Amino acid sequence: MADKQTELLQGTLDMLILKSLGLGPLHGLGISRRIEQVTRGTFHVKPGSLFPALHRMEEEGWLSSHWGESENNRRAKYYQLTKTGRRQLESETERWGRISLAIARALEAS
Amino acid sequence: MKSLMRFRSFFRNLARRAESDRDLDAEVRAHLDLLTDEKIREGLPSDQARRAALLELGGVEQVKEDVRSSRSGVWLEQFWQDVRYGARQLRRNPGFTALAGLVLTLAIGLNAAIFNVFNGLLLRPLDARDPQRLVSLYFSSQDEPGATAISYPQYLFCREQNSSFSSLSAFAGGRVLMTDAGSSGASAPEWLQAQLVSGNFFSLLGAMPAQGRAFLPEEDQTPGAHPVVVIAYDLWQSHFGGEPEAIGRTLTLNSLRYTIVGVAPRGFIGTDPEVPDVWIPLAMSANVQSGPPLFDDRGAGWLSLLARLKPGVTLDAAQAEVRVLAARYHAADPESVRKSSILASPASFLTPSEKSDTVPLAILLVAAVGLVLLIACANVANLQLARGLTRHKELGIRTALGGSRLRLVRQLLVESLLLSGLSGVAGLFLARAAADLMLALVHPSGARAFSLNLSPDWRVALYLAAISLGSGLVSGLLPALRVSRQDPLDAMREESGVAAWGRGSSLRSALVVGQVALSLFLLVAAGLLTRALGKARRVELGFDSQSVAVLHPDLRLHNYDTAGAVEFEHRLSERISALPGVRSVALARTVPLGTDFSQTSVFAEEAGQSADRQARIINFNVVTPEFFDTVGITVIHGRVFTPAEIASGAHVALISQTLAQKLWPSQEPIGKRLRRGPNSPLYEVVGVARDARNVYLWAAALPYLYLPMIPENLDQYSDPALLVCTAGDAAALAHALPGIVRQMDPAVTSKASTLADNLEFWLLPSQLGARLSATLGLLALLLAAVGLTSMTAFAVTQRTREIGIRIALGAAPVAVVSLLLRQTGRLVAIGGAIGLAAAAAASRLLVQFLYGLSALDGLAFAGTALFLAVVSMAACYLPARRAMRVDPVVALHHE
Repeated sequence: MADKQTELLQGTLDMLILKSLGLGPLHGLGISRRIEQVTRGTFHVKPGSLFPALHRMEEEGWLSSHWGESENNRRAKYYQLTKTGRRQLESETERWGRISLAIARALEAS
Repeated sequence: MKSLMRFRSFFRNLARRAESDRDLDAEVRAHLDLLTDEKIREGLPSDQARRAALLELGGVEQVKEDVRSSRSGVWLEQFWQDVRYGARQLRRNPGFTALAGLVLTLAIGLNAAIFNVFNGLLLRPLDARDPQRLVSLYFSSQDEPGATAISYPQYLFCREQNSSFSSLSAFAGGRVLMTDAGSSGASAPEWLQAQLVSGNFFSLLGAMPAQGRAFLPEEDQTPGAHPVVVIAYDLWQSHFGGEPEAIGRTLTLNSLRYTIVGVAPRGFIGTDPEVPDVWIPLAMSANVQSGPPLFDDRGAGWLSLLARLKPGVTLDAAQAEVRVLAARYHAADPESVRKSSILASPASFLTPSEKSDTVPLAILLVAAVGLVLLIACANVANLQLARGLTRHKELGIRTALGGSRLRLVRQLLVESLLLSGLSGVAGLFLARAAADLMLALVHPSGARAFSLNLSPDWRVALYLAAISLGSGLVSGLLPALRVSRQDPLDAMREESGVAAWGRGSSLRSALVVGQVALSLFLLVAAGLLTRALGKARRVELGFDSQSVAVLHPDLRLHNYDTAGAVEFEHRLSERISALPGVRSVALARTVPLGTDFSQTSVFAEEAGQSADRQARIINFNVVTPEFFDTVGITVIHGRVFTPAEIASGAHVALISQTLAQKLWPSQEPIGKRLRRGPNSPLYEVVGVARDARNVYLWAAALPYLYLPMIPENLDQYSDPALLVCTAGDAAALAHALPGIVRQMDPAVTSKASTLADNLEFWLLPSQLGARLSATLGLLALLLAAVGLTSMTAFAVTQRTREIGIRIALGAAPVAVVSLLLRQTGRLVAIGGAIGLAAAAAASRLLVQFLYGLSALDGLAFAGTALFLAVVSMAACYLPARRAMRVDPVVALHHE
């Protein structure tokens, strides 16, 4: 449901969301656009996937949320990383590094 | 930490559901606004921007649903939603709810009732304090499997020597004649069920008397010294008006005055479902049991033993110890040590051998009512399928709004579980009432009712919960899967009724076929047994059962020895012969078709070791010459005994045709001689009697031996019975006979009945079987009829348009009805054929109870099939008639 061109790997969406919030609080649409921007349009996250993920991660304690004003003066719900969320991002990044290295090696070997 | 967070949000979700729902709504709508703004900035006009944003979002409600179903605790929340929604659905369709609920309640209640009875008899521990620590002890022997009673000396030995039990109690059953119930007035003599018990019986069970006290230890010491009695609560109520003054009054039992010392607690069942009316100390057994005194007999088993395990002692340890005790008891006799032992098993109403007889019956019955439950489930499934069609729009809309198929199936399942759960609760009340009714049914009129504790315990509750859950799943799963598998677009279209009808119908048809088959199967069994009963009543017995009264005087209880008893009965028979209407009177050791047997082996004199000239373990009788005329057994060859032969104690015998054939095939048997064992005298055969069904009702021809009524041929344990043939009413005569015995000796008590009563006793199993399978079969048929009615009614509703068109095009209303009837008729015919085939295959198992009726009896099969056909056509015709009244104009405007 989440892709335009590429299927998202299980667990990847969480990591992308955590990463996009690394620089500061964002609302749902902001997160969605940030992910598109940094992946150069490879991933397009639909609201049907985004919101369940945000709420789940909030329940996990990785994110916290608050209502705020958007750039064009609309009310919007902002998400930001908690301490646990930051740790989760670090461990996810490290794990992802290992996986992609391993896969890259596996594909190079022949 | 993480789980703590989840835990917290779980509760927050539950507690603040409304608030978080509002928050979620605001968030998604804000997202939509942001998205719209974005589109406007990209240069779209505002209305197009809104549409594009909505398209990208994928629908506010859908997103919200996605979020909700990813929350923790969502299953509980959704479950609760499903329950509330299901309850609303059930309330909204009272017709469906009532019908399906009734069907399930009946079936679940019936199942629970049967289980309740067997639970009371087989599974439940005795009603006693700490029943898990109670153990029954049985004598077990290789020679006589099923012989389970223990002798008095062995009981004493175990009581003194064991270290496993904190107390050991012995008891035995008996019957006593109450001739005077204290000062309660001159009551008619009455037979009471008595239980002889050791002094510690009540304290071992932990039963506190309702009035007075239980027995004292010394009341169980010296034989005959303490005539005291504890009476049952019901007897206290019926004969003493429940007054406390009953304690200290006297009861005359078997002509001896007993002092009442206590009243058993209300509802006390003790060790036997045939609850005694009175309890008497074991030491008084000579007054209750006939036969010689048994206290010193090391071999005669007559006691049941009940023991309480000491704290910390296991059943296995106790078993090991009693085995050693049994071996030590028989130490002097190595043969007995090898062959016999004592078994310890958890205390129960039934002995292990009775249990192994009862368990298959229980399983059979539970399976039979399980079939009925299955029919009920099929029916409810059918109803739900039919209803599912009317709900296709509702379900389609829910699918369109983002409900997943799993969610829909779950919703429908919850609905059907709700229904079966409610039926289970209703069934619980039915189970109790039906179980009481069943106990009353099982017992023939006049006999004592069984008392079992039928208040549902955890086993019944568990069973009820399991079958309710099971039937909810069985009746709900198929329809739920079927109904939820549909295209939302299809559902939105207006007239999809006919198409949908076609889709669900193969499953529905299969269910109807199954129901018809099952109910026909049960009904054929009932038909066969009922027909066989009629046949058994008219069966050629070989003797006259209608005009013979039977009298059993209890002479052994009153100090008569064998010769004295025979002499007394001869005098008695002279007096009875003088009564008006009496044709003849005879004495006999056993009564035709009675429950008392005497058996022996016989060998032809010239046989040697040849196996075909002997008959092992055959039944025999000891009779006066008048016996053959009195019961109407023809002597076809030779003669009966002469008075001279009886006076001189001659060794003569009559034999049955079958025995003659066995001992001397195609030879003249008269004048031949037989012996009963290696050291027995030779008996000369003087006559051959026609074969009669005098042992087992189903055995037309058995080898049988008649010996003359002389003390030598009698055993010492029971008195001969008197058989009286009358020109008048045998039952009325039987009623008058005990009075004549009392005239001769006021102390002697007696029982009287008729030979026809014996016949009824043999027919009891068939009668019960017929009654039970008829009840179940009719219930099944009722359920099937409900299914057929609802199915046809539904077809009429679904096809109103089609019927309207047919009528508008000129079809006669009758043709429309027959169209509908043909459709269901075909299903009934298929189901009927399957049911008949299954019944034909299974009826061979009943052959023992059919008394010569063919297992494929045409009348039973054809009659039942016809009955089923009529009932099912009626069930279809009633709703189909509605089709005749369809007004084409209204029908075509319909929808």
